Amino acid sequence: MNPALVSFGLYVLAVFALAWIAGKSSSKSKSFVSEYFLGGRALGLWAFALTFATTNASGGSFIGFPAKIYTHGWVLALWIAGYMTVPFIAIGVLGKRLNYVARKVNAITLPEVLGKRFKSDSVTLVATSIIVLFMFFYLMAQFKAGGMILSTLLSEEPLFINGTEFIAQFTPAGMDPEYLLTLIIFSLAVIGYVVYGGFKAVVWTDMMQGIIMFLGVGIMLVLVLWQVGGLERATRELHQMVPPKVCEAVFERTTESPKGKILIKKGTWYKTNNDTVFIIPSKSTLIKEGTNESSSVNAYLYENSRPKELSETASAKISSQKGYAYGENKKGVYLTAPGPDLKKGTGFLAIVTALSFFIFWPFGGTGQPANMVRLMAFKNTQTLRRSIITVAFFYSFIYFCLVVIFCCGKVLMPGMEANADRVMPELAALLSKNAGMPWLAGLLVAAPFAAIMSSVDSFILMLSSSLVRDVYQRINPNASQKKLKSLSYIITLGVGILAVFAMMNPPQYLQDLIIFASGGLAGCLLMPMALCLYWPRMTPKGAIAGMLGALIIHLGLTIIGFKMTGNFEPYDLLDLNPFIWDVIGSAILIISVSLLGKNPPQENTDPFFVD
Amino acid sequence: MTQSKHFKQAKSELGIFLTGWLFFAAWVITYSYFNAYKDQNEEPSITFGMPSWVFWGIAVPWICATAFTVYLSLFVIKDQEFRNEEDQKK
Repeated sequence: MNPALVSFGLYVLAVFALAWIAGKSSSKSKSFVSEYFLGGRALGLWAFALTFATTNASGGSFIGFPAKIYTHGWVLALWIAGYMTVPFIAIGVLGKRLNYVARKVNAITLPEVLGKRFKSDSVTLVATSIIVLFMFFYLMAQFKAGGMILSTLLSEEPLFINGTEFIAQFTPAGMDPEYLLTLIIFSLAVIGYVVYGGFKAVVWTDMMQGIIMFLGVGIMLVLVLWQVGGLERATRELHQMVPPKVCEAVFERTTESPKGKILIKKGTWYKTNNDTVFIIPSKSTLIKEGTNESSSVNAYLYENSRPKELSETASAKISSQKGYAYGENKKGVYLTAPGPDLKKGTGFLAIVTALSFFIFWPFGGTGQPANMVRLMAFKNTQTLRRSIITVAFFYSFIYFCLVVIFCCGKVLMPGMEANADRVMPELAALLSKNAGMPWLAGLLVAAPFAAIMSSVDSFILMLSSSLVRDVYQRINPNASQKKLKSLSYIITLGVGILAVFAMMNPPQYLQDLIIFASGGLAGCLLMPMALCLYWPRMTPKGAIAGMLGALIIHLGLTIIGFKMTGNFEPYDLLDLNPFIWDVIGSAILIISVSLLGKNPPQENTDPFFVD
Repeated sequence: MTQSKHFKQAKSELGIFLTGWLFFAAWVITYSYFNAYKDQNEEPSITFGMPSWVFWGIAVPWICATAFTVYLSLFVIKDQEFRNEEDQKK
């Protein structure tokens, strides 16, 4: 059996074992809902720090981010730089205050904190609806990422190939049976341990996943620097590289061609007779035996980067070349800002966009409900202080190292621009193979898989807690612990299954989906939650106006973006991330609507602002 | 209305967090604006293996931000008693 698959399988088994132990220990608690959804508010240093860090580092960090580094180069260091302030902003700004207040009013979910602050069911309902809406999109993206990683590991396994053939019989036309099978395997794994173990299982497995992510990145860094010959050498080689050109390669049968069928393989490097190097990024094609027909396929043409070994020499003509809109034939473009871009003539990252990301990462992180819930669960302020330090070192290491790894990876493994989303597992496989340790690929691939699992589990639980606590318990306040327990299991399972059905035909753009959902959540909830904790004058009408206003702005900018580009990407008004407009709109609405209304009654504000 | 000690402390800490964020945002964005957006057609400027603008405009502020985070956690954020969940049930 594939050694990478064995080490990966061992990792998954360890996750299950940990979740099982967590589930056993949770069941001893008296208050099921508090224990199942908040772990009894008793998270210590490592549990809190690592669950916070890993929930934030999702599939995007290990799939989408590496793809962007690979495509645009060192400028991604500027794109991600806002993470240097994430620990003290995302944990510090709301952490102590939210935990203190949630304990005081005995709140378990975020909508409940808002509802108790304003004594208003409408506020709770609006917050719950927003969380359910955006979290579902977020979950969809993570399920797709999980399936993609599994398919890299399993695609050549005979058992998996047989399974795919079996599934293909029941798969409707237009669906990919291989993806469907990986989606089922991934979902069974994650949903299983979340349903059984609840918050504690999620936190414990997050801890282990955090360690795996740290180790995976560390090992990859050492291997890539060793194999590329040092960072300076990689940067100098990257300086020589220019972006590829999109072209058409026309394959023809010549006297030198093999007699039988000619297979033009996806992912294969070809060299033409005049030493031009190109790669076929997608879809293999065939020139049939005994025919002289030509075959025209999309290709990527490379002028001064090529792999160490070329697989094939082909009789092909290159036609209709199209360069990058920014960076064509420009040496050094991967070392500087704004970075090359295929479509945008102004480059990948304008300075205003860089500023908007410096705002988005820390403040968007602050507004994520899955992060805020964790802020309600730590044990005491000593835990909070030490966790901020731990998270700071964790993020500094992970994100900066990822930039270094994939800038070096581009030199080591050129030609993946068209399939950049697969660069992480492919580089892991290459590094392990070159190091003569194929089993290591399983551990390295476990790092992004861990990131995805730790986000999916948190979000499934977040969704089900909103439905159980904020909807069902509000309708049936006297429901027994036994009933709440079985309902929590059923709803958690239901949410997971629903996400799988929604992802059977996944949208194409993974990273766009993640940005839409996480930006929407933070944009709608950041200002209402921050002002609810820091501004006594805020009213329930102000809170609702702020949440709905941000929702309308976010959806509006996404629809405008879709109409303008035809892609699922929002319109960046003045080059600023839509999240910033959501937050500005939300703040203006909360403040103006609150000031236009009456002062909130003192009995509502006292528990939050007076001892 | 007399504000609680906890609320006052949280407000003063909030001011320090936001000032810290503003300082690092100004450093990174200003430095990068003047140094990262320059063409490097010929010999690249490299410090410790990375482009010099990444070193001075991202890596150094990142190290300083981490040091600032440690300082905040050890000396600025004050410990406060939380209401225990078990007490609450009583």
